[in-house]
Amino acid sequence: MSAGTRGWTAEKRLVFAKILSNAEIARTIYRMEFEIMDEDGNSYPAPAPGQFINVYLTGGRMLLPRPFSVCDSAAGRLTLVYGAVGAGTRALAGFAPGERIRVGPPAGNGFDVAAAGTAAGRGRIVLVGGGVGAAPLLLLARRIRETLDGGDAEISGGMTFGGAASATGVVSGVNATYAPPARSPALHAVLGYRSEPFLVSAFEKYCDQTDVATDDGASGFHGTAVDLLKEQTLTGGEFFFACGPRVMLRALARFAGGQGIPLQVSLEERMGCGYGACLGCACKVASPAEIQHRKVCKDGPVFNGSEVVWDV
Amino acid sequence: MCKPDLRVRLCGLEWKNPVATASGTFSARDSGKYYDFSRLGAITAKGLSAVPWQGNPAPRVAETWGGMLNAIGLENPGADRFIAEELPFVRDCIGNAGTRVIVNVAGHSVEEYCMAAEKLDAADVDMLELNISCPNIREGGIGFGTDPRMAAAVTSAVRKRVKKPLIVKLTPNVTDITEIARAAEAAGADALSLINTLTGMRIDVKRRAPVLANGSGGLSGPAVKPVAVLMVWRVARAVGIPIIGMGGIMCGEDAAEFLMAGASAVAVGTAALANPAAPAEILEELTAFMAENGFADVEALRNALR
Ligand SMILES: Cc1cc2nc3c(=O)[nH]c(=O)nc-3n(C[C@H](O)[C@H](O)[C@H](O)COP(=O)(O)OP(=O)(O)OC[C@H]3O[C@@H](n4cnc5c(N)ncnc54)[C@H](O)[C@@H]3O)c2cc1C
Ligand SMILES: Cc1cc2nc3c(=O)[nH]c(=O)nc-3n(C[C@H](O)[C@H](O)[C@H](O)COP(=O)(O)O)c2cc1C
Ligand code: FES
Repeated sequence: MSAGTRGWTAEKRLVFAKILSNAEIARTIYRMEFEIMDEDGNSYPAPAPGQFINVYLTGGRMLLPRPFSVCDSAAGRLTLVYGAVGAGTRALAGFAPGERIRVGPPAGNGFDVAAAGTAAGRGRIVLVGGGVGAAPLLLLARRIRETLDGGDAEISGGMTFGGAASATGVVSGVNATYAPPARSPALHAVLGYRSEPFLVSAFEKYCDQTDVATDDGASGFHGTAVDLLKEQTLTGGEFFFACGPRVMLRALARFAGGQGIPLQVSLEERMGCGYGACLGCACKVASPAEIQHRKVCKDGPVFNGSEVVWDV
Repeated sequence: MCKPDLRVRLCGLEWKNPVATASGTFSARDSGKYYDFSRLGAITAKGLSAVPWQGNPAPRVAETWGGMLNAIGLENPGADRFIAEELPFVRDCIGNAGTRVIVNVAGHSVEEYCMAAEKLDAADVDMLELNISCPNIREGGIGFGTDPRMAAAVTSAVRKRVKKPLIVKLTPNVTDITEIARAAEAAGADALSLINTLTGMRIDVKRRAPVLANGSGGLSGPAVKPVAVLMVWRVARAVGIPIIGMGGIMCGEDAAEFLMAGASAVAVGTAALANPAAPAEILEELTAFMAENGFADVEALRNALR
């Protein structure tokens, strides 16, 4: 029904999804898989790595949508990995397979995978995750793996993967539990957790090397993902993709900046609408433009580490 | 069951129906992907100033029970860029569907309001809405809209400089809103819109700090609706100019409530954050409500309150 003069169809809409599974994979961390229902399944756009979706919960306490990165996706099915941290995510954790949730279409600008290939002479892609920040990096790892294996020129062009360009290894021996890699892998994940790792085997499927760090040293390297990265010899030929707590991303941005390594980060910010209408989700960027704010929900959530103004 | 006539007249202009978007919660490029806004009676652009404004640092929004706080700080690209880049797109989407275009005007001084309003008056817009909730920097940051004298001063100054119908948008953060409403009417306002957001605060008790970077923000959403309905009802009995009612409208019956309280039209704000297509859905629900309850037109609804 359109009173307008033009034929009009909605480019975007909220759809219902049926939950296929929803299980705790680490303490307070859940993995939910769902399927877009009915006729919407076919028209639902395939999410790109780094895009997020809005989940619409109901109730007086939960007026606003909750944004979650897409952790994995194939053929109308999506996987989210989320921490139960508040009312909405705790409610989400209570959903059982077969129940329905309402979700929006994939939103925002994801990781610019092509940039990793076009930066000349890049030898290694490093995915740096902190906690649930690992979620969007998994879909990214999968896409990069597919591209590498498929020999897609877009990202492998001009790159020497896993070559002898560097003898990457641990510089200092402070961390006994951490075994240094023998050589530089093409796709390397460095994942930091508070205490209990998750998604590690999923990353191992796609990555040439997957390293784990924990704040309490319960497994892997004792320290943060960025600490672990600093323990390694870098050639400057790396390309970083990262998602995690802002403090981690800030530390990584400083480190990457100092080493001249390009970095893309996926940011979190409180959102109003989650689709570009309210300007609730400001990210301050260094820009010559009159307005130094960008929308995390539309211009992001992925930004270049060097453009973000971290000290706000 | 009759098919209701939804047309309303405001300040000599016909709207094809009484449902508009509220300022700051609508973006033609983004909202327009979810619903056809050329079906609405009017759309309202976000607050525009004479020069670009940066807005506040993040976090700018916080959810509350039944609502939300916002402290966007009126980030906007300035009237010139809006006119050059946004307005042609809005007009193109509307075509000849007749949807009215309202621009919301912000300023920190009477002169700034006038400058922005003049630029917008000369552009292809239908009505101007003066957001007088802004602080007056010349008078120690007191909101223009909280003092009848200042509200009248900015209204009459802008009124003299523009030709288009002038709506004055009132803040609810006052002791007696009818006093401000009368002052705006006497100073030349053609219509009033209310309510803007109610000032509020949330504290994160674990971080022991305000949730919003700005400290305080404006409360909107269903939690404010009873306050808004009462204010519309009071103002409707105090002035002779039409009222655009808003504050927490989430469904068609909420819209009907404002019309019964005396508003001539309504605007949908926060609902569009909770559901991107809300304004169009609310229009459909209002139409259905009127049909089912035998309201032939909006005037019938406005006169229905016993
Ligand atoms: C682009 C993006 C991607 C995200 N991806 C993931 C993910 O993959 N896995 C995951 O566990 N979390 C992710 N988050 C964070 C997630 O959105 C919040 O944890 C969630 O909204 C908390 O909701 P709640 O109701 O449980 O918490 P409450 O604190 O009760 O929420 C209150 C309000 O604050 C908002 N909010 C609270 N924490 C955050 C936060 N960290 N970021 C943004 N808004 C917040 C909520 O959306 C809600 O509007 C992402 C955030 C963004 C912006
Ligand atoms: C995110 C956000 C931004 C807003 N920006 C403006 C603005 O620029 N100018 C204005 O006059 N009102 C602004 N408002 C107020 C709304 O237009 C409306 O008056 C108020 O939110 C009450 O209606 P609601 O409960 O339907 O949202 C804003 C509200 C929100 C939630
Ligand atoms: S959350 Fe509304 S614009 Fe980004």
